Amino acid sequence: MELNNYYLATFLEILSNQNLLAKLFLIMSISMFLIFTIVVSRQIIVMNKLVNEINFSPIFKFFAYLSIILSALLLVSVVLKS
Amino acid sequence: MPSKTSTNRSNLQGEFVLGKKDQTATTVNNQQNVSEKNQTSEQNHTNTYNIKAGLTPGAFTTLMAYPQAVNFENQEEDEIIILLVRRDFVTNFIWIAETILLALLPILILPVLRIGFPFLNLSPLTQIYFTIFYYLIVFEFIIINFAIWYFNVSLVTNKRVVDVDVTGILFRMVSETKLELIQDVSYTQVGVIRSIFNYGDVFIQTAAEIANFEFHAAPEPEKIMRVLGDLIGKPKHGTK
Repeated sequence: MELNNYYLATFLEILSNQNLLAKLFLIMSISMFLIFTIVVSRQIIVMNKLVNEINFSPIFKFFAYLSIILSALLLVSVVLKS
Repeated sequence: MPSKTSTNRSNLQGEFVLGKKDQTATTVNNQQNVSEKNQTSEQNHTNTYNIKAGLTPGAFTTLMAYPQAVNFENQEEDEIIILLVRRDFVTNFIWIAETILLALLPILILPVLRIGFPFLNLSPLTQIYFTIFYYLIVFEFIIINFAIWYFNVSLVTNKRVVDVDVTGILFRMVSETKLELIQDVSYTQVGVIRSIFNYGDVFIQTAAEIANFEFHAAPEPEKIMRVLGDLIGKPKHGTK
């Protein structure tokens, strides 16, 4: 019973804390976005094999990887600061 | 290349020749001389079709003859890319405009949010995180749209035509046909925008399973049609 009360209290605290709710929403959104960026990067690598312009392809891959790195960094940062 | 004037002959330095058939069609008698001039042409980056040739294509190249440092999947050793065609860059206008709007949106929306939702009580750090996340989405939007345009490419080689259609980041269709199977080449250029920016759709009729190839919104479709027509040695049709 006490354990149930503890969980209920924690749940109510989360609900009453807008900032925490927003961060939870942000963590879920960034996680999904991170998966999406990985899929996009994979697709770009596959398409680069299909038609490869040697000069520009590395730049394209760089931007694709950059979006993954930035998303991951943002996710880690949000998790650590919450 | 039909109907060359004497003035044009003196400018043959910039000509690229597509094959033996074309060499016989030119008014130049000495084949060796022509091939030497062809080599010079790639250095001069011009040709009788006025298509940039022999260069390394950049990120925004839409039409180039004999592009350097480009290869594609299943390319044969003796296969040379004659033409590289992408949709005209003007076709990117909509998503570029959307990107600019999306980039400016927080500046317009944030004051409204503060007035409309005064009960929203987020810490400045959370607001920064949301803003960074939003701009990451915009950045990804740019990458995806640019990739869709960039990989939507058509290649004409000395053996075949390869058409890569990318309509979404998860959908692509690659089709190819041998030059011998091409029956007819035509193009359409309908509308004010297309006429102003000189781009249109090039249609390639083939005897293969995939009956028609289309180069959507290709820049300078007349030149592409002439190159393809000369390659297959067939008459060309165009409508404006």
